[in-house]
Amino acid sequence: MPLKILLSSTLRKYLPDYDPVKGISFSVGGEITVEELCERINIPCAKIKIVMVNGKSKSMEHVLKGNERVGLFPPIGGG
Amino acid sequence: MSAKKQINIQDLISSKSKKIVDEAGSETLVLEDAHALRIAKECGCKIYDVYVTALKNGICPYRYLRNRETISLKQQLVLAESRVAVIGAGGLGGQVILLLARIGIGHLIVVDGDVFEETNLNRQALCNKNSLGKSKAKEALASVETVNPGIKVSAYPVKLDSSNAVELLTGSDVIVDALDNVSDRFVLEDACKKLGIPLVHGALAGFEGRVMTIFPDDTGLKNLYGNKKGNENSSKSPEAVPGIPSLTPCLIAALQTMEVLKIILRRGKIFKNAMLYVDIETGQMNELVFEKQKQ
Repeated sequence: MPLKILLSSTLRKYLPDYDPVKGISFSVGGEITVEELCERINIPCAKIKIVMVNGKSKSMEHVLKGNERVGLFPPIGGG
Repeated sequence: MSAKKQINIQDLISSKSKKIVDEAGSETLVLEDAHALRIAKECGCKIYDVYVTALKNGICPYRYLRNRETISLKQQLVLAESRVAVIGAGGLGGQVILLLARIGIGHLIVVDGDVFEETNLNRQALCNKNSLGKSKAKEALASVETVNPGIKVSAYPVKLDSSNAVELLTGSDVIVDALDNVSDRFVLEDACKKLGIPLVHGALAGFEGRVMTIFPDDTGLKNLYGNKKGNENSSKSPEAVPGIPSLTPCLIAALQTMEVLKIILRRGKIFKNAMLYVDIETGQMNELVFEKQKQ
């Protein structure tokens, strides 16, 4: 089952065709870490501060197995 | 206030209060603002004192009547006797200050060393053509005075830093993080943890924003921004890239204000060790949970 990836804020600029309503659907053959996933979809890992998998915080080393919702967040500090 | 004046205020409030009956047949004693103002003048006290005395005697300042049912008279008194510090009086802070004033938080501390400039006009509630070039903190005081003269406001037109934070924030029940950059937010969090005061964090960028309440023992901002060390030179606001239209601060400020109410009134569910993430463009509002980290 594919992963559903949602990008927040400035991370969206790395994928010009990104649709915030749909997010990205990404099929994985087997297990993949969040870091590997980001490299595959061309999102610089250094720009990511928060990784959420199915609503819970995870590290970049977290292993994804498929059929998960992955939220990637840069730092935002505006007020 | 002296005991003599206290009795005098009570008598005056009782004599000027009136009973109203709502459509459901429920009776409430209310005190209109015109009377509250006159009583304060006559007794040489603040309108704040008149409101608190009225509430203690079961009389609702008329302005709070429509809070009733959602916020009881007893809770209204708790709010009136609470002190909330809002750090930053810009996009988030301006809205938070007005909301807290209308809901009836009795004492507001406002800290902001900036002045209003033209690019603030698109979103900052306290910014208008007359406030350009003026202190944000002082304008907050003036605005609250017009919205609710029963609120005591201590306005500090200074930048919060590690040398003044403890002095400015001591005695607050809750502190609201309405700052606009990451490094200052860490300075604020340090002070809150030192003082043992809960901090309601809010941040935004574009049509997205998030809220998290940080109690002194929580991991807090490290969950959102990583280690403090990596953010020391981030005085430039990260939101500078996507910008901030007027809508986002309104929503995030409302959510932050709700966190303040929940903490003070000990009700509802607080977003602790979790962030409420909102994207108003897609209509998403999700609670995202931070699992316990080692400090």
